[in-house]
Amino acid sequence: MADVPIDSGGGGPLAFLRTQAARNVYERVMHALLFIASAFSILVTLGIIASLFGEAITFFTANPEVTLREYLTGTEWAPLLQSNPQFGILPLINGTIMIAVLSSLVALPVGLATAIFLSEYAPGRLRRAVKPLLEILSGIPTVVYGYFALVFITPQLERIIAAINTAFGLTDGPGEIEINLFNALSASIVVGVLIIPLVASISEDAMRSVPRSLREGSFALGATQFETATRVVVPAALSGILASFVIAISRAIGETMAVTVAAGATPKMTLNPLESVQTMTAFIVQVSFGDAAAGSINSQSIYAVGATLFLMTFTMNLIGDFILRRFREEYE
Amino acid sequence: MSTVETTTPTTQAPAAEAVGTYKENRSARENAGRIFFVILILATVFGLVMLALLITDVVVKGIFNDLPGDYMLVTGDISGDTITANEVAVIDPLERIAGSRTQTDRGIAGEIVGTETRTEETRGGDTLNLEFLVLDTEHGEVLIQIDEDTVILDEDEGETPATLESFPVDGSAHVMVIGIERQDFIIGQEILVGPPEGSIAGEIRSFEGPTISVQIASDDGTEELSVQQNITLETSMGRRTVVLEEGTLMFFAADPDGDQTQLEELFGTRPPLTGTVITDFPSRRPREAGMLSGIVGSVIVIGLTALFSFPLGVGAAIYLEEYANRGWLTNLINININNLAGVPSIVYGMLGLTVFVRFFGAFRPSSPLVQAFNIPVEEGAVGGWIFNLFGIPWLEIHLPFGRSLLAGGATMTLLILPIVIIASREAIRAVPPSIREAAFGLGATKWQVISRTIFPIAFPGIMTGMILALSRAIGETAPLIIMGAFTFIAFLPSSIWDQFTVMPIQIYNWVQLPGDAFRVQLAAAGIIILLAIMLSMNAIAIFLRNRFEIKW
Repeated sequence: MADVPIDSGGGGPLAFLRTQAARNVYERVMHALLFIASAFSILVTLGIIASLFGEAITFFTANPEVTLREYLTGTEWAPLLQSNPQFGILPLINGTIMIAVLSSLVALPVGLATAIFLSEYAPGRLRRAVKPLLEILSGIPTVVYGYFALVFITPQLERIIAAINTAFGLTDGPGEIEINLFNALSASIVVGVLIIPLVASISEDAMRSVPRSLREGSFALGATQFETATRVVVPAALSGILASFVIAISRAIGETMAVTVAAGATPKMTLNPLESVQTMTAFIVQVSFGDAAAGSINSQSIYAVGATLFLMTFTMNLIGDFILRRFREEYE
Repeated sequence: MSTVETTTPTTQAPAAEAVGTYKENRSARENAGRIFFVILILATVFGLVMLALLITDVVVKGIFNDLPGDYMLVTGDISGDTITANEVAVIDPLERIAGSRTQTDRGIAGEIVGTETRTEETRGGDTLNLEFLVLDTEHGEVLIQIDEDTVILDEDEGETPATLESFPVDGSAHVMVIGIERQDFIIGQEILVGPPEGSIAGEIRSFEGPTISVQIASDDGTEELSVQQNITLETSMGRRTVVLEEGTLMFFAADPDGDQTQLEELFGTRPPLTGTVITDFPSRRPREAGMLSGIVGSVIVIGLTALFSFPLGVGAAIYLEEYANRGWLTNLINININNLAGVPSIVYGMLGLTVFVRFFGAFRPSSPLVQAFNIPVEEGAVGGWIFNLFGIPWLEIHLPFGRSLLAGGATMTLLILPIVIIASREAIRAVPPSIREAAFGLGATKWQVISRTIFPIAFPGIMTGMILALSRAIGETAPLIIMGAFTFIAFLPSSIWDQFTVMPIQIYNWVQLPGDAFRVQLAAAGIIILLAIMLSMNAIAIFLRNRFEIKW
């Protein structure tokens, strides 16, 4: 059986390829190759963990002046100083979290409102037009958003601050509000705009998967469309909405170019969004753009910062995934 | 249940009255929805206005504003808005301020009315004496810091005021300063001391008038150059016209060895987005800067990315959709792919740096692997182990990859792989099961079903996802910066082992350089090119989706 050519016109030098046995081998080889392709993603994760944490551990073991305790609790970050460099990551985390929080203030309400509109109000044609637009909006390179923040938004903020100063008679006085050319606020605004599509699209998916019957039941009880949207659909889709929030905040934490361009390079412990700050991502870019030599303390320090960043975003993504799975309301 | 009670008339109240309250309530409650709508529409309008402003802003700055010229120091006779020049020095501002992240510098001029010394403490605990000139300018009193790097040019040769004490502080000396703006003072970089109101500094904006010949001072004596007579300067005091006279002496601090053609280029202004932005290499001079190497680098990196990510991504998607059984391994792979899609792009840059650029340091001269096998590694910028596979000359292999196009493409592949897998899976899932079953019914093997029916049907969807993923990769900046792509690449790559740069890195570089010419205008030009390429890729993807998608 195994040696009988399947093709009736069999013959010629390649006839053995068309035997059942050869086919079985071929099937198995393809199966194996496809499995390798899908298992490759696990290799990528292992690679990330090995490269980040391997070098981060080197950073702590090869430099006795840096302790893990100082790294996690120190409030001064000045690794580029020649004499007496300081490695306390809190200022970088401070900058990162400030921008993540401020950008969520922009993105979460607007993104949720967009999602409610798209899923509950918009006619099909409008939704089909808006969705690709959102896709394009999220596809604009982040360095362009950084340019927008630095060249367009910051000057507008400067104007507004100057107007406030004049209106309240603060100019040249002790209470004068000062705004830095590089500031966290303008970076936060563009990062917020950048993550709106993410919030909108995940939340909208969640709301659209709420079954019609719930909406119709609500209408039958005399609720308005807005009440149906906010008191029936949103609670029913809450897990998806919360997950979209967590994932969006995680994206804001990992956002790089917009904050590097617009927020500056001054690691500091401050809660004033008008000052220049530095995020973890911006620090990594700053060191990499300046050609740090391999093996130097600077190039090792970016791995410690990168590992911290990875842990933060990874945890948030896991939480988002967990919320999505755990609290999903299953409807038939 | 409670909702029902509040909206049904209660038994105590007469029915008509209840209906009335119900209607009032109803309209009040509907108003909440209307307010939501008004706010949403206002937000959308605001967003659209911002977007329109951004686009206008970028287009105006990238296409319609001329790039400013070099800085000029002029001494001569000033009357009104016109200066008849005796001596002109053309200065390249970037040469002096490259690397600083400050606001654009501006020439400023005024009379010296005093001096000041400040003591500041450095981080290290040392004390530092800062010395300042106090200038009376159009903008009020301005402090100019003088340090050892400050170049002081004096009209009276031989009596160069080297220290603060030697400056006349009675308002009789007029100085022009080019420098860097700090919080509350200006670091003087070039100071020209002259008689009051005899000199001015500013940015060259345009040239007009008849052509005359001027003297160019160079190392080999002087030569003649024909230029247009009137120069418009943008100074701290507004626009001024400088009139050149026959034989005016000009100095080019910027480019002393430049030949005449280059000098003429110095004077020309042009819009940022012209053909030369596409055909020129990066440069320190705004008007000669372009992104040719960035465009070529982007195209090659994206090509390599497509080449690697297509088999890997589509293969993984086929396996997960067609072969995988429900089990812990499949589950793990699924969760893992979702998580990889959420990893910040900058982390992929660090992964690429360690794995592709450095191979975990396995080919460093001191590594155990190199010493055990006695591998001939080279040190230096390229470095590593270079050999020809099977002795074929063009099959050159570098280990590790170094900061090469190949390493860039590989890094980008890892970055977009999760997106490609997720998009391909959706395309494959859209193929109805009946097609599979029909093919199996005809006696096809599993791989035949996949390769001859499912894959061709899902192909347009896969391509759409692939192009969208690549259009995202083309705008990614951070991973390639971390991985070590270069900024100033003034050659085109000859192989995948060459160093490279990409478009978004050029834009980032321009944005963070001081001076509006780079920071605002050239960056705008670069953004227009990048967005044009990205949007056309998106358009192709949407076209493919609409043209070839089969609805079942």
